[in-house]
Formats: sequence, C-alpha cells, structure tokens
Amino acid sequence: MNKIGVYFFIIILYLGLTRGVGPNTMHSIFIPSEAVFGNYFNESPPFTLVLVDAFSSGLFIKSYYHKYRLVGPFRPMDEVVVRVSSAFYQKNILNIGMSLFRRYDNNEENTVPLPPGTVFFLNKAYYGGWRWEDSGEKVWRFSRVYRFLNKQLGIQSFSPTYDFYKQLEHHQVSGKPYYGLRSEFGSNGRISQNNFPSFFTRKRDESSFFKSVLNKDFKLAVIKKRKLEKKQWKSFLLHE
Amino acid sequence: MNDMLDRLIIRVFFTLFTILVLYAYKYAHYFLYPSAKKQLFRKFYPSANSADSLHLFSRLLGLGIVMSSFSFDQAEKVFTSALFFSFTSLLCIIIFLVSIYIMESIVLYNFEYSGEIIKKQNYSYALVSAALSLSVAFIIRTVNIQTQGNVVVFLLLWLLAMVLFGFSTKLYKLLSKLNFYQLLIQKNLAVGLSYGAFVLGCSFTICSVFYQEYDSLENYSLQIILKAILAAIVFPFFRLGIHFVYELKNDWQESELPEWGYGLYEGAVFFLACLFTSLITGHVYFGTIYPVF
Repeated sequence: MNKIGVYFFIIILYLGLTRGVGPNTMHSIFIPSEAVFGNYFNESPPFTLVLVDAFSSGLFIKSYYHKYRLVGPFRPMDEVVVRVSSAFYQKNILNIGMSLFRRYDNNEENTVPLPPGTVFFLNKAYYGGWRWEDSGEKVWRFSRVYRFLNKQLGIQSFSPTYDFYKQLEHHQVSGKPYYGLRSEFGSNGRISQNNFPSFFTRKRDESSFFKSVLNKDFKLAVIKKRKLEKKQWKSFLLHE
Repeated sequence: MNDMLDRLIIRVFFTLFTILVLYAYKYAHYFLYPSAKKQLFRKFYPSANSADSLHLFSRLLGLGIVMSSFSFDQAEKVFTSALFFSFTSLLCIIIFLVSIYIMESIVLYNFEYSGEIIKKQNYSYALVSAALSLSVAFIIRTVNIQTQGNVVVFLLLWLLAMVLFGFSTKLYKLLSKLNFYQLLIQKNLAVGLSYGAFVLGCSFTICSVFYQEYDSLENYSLQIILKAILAAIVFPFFRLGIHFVYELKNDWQESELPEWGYGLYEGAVFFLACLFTSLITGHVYFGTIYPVF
C-alpha cells in the first residue's frame, strides 16, 4: 500500500509540474467562444481579427489551436496562437481567412464571420472610397495611404463591389456568416486558399500521406531500376 | 603528403598528452584516496587480488569513459587546444573522483576499501564499487557532452545529476528484497550483481533524461526533473511487464542466502527495465502530433 501511495504521489507530482511549467500551457491563452474576444483583444479601433490557421494536436486527447492575425491601420500587424475549445474549433472550420472579430471606430464590436476588411468596407470613416471601373461596375478601394492593408488582410487585389457590400451589410445585421458573392472567402474560397495556404497544404499532405510515402519509395525504386538498366546497356554496348 | 605527415605527428603528440593526463590521474586519485597508495604507486599484480583488480580497473575504465567525451579543437593553435584539453580533463578527473567519493559515502558509508578489498577480498563490494565508478563516469560524460565546454553550466548540471543519482540509489530498498548491507558484509555475490546492475541502469536512465535540446539552464533543468519523474512512473511498467512476459518466479526464501543466479536475475531485470525506460523518456519524438506553429 505504501509503494502504491508513493507511486500515485509521483504521478500527481508529474502531472502537476507538467501543467505548471509545460511549454504549451505557459504562453497560450484559452478562447472558449467568440464572446470573449473583446476581453482578450483590447486593441484600439478600427481593428479586425483574421483566422489564419487552425490546428489540432495530440493523438488520444486532442487540443485545438487557432492562429489569428491582428490587423489595424495604426498598429503593426501581429500573429497570435491561442488554444480554443473543440466546439469553437469545429464551428470555425469553414472560416479560414475570415474575420471573426471586428471593433469599429465607434467601439462597436461584431463577431459574425465575414470577409477580412469588412471593418473598413463598412466603416463610415475614410479608409477608402467607391470608384467606377471601366466595366461600369462600382468597387470600393483603399486610399493610397491604407493600401498596405490589402496584403495584411490577405485580400490582395480584391475590391468589393456594391452588391458585395449590400450582402455584407445584410449578413452582419442578420448574424449569418458571409463568404462572398462567389464564395471567394472561407475554407472553400479561392482568395483565402491563395493567401493563407498553410492550413490547406497541411490538410492536403495529411490526406495523401500514404500516397506520398508510396510515391516516394516507388519513385526511388524506379530511379534505381533505370540507373541499373542504363549501366547494363552501357556495358552491353562496350562489349559489342 | 606534408599535411598528412603533419596531422599524424599532431595526433601522436595528443596521444602522448593523453597518457600524461593518465599519469596526472594517479596523483589526483592518491590525493583524494591516500589509502590507495599501494594500488597505484607500486607494481600491480592483477592475479594477486582479483577484487582489487576489479576495483582499480573500474576506476580506470571510468576515467576512459569520461575522457572519451573530450576533443582537441584545431580551430585554435595546437598548444592552445592542448592547454584547454588539460584544463577540462583535470576538472573532469577531479569531478569524477569527487563524485565517486560522494556516492561511496552515500552507498558504502559502513565500509572501508582497505578492510573490504585488501583484507577480506570482498568481490561483492568490488562489484558495487565498480558499478558506482562506471555509473558516475557515464553521467559525467553525458553532462560534458551536453554542456559543450561551458564550465559553469557543467558544474551546475553535474550537481543536479548527482542529486538525481543519489536519490535513485536509495530506491533499491523499495525494489529489492535483498538486505544490502547485511549481504555485502557476508560477501554475497547476489547483492553485488543485483545492486551493481541496478545502479548502472539508473545511470543509463539519468543519461537519457539529459539528452535533450538545451535552450536555457532553467528550462533545461526543469525538463530534466520532469523526465526523471516520468522515468520513475514508467519503470514499474517495464519491470512488471518483463516478469509477466517471461513468467519469472521469485524462488528465494529469506531464511537462506541468495544464490548468485538470483542476484543476476534481479540485476538483469532492473537493468533491462531501465534501458527500456530510457527509450520512453529519451527517444519519443512528438513531431507532427505536437508541432510548433
């Protein structure tokens, strides 16, 4: 009984010490849902949080992480990794590249998943303006001084049209996620896939893991065989 | 051709230098162990006292194990690297001898070399002493490799290693039914084999917890302590597993003296369990299961 007691004490000591000083728990905050974004991210407005990557780790007991990009016109861009709940992770699996939290100039906060840059498109303050394209379409563009935000937000040369803007407003009010007129944003969106490739590359690699291993070994075997055949052919020619 | 000959001469020079260090060890050993004068400074006949031979050669082997972790860095000049080598080897010799002194004070505090080895020719005592020397040598070698020439860090980690090793030697009472001191006085080989293998296994496990990436001293020390506790958790699984798989049965009665076969069985199980434990504590890489963002 004494030995068993000592053994259990050692297990509890180990778990306690690991919890206290383990590298994963030392630096990452825990986000259970979108309701706590306002408490953890106290950046001055306008400010948006873009979901850049999502990852789960562990084999038997899983932990879930989100990587957010903090974007604002008057602050340096930053990326932060947080631990999230399983439910929140599953809820946002289709929202890679989307803005999950916005704080407007009037300190209003919104957590409906919308395309990144919404905090500027819907903002009454002057970060850009409407222009007429040669095609006759009306599009919104950042002012010259704020054009660096295109890259930070991961939208590159995308310019929202008036229809896009109207749909955006409607979805923000109704509280439903919006992925663009042609679903350009989100995990299934072309723009998000091009600008935030790490999540999609990892998913592709995971699904084709065995194929890639087989391919690698098979290719090596084929290369060796071809080299041997070349050698044999050369020696045949020499003898001829 | 010139550079090949030159390199050969430099290697011969370092060989002679290393033998000089061996010579220095003799005097360092005598300084810390004055009773070993007969062993070191007169002609030694290995067949006269086999226990004494085991005692002496275990120390020399330990020295060899420690010195096998050194190197001569030719980025500096030959004499500078020789000077650095002599400083580090002298430090390691002193640390090695101090470690043996500490461990023998903890484990063999009731015994004396002259009484047990010279007069009684106690092979059991010689086995335990040999195992302690080799264990301490492996630990010092590992710490030296990990610290890569940083003297202050080497001393601090050596102290940590000695504390861990000292604790582990006291666990023998919990794990074995043999009465260590009583059987050692009776010159019973079983306890020598059992304890010797146990102590060697502990040193292998401690060496495995030291083999990890070094970023800061604080973090590294914490990880060592965590891995040492993990080893204490994993070890009983392997010990029980070996007994279960091979259906090993304890056939020794406490009223009799244990045979050396029993000591061998206990020692081998301890050692094997420690080796497998070092596999789990030191060689599990979490790679893609726990990646870094």
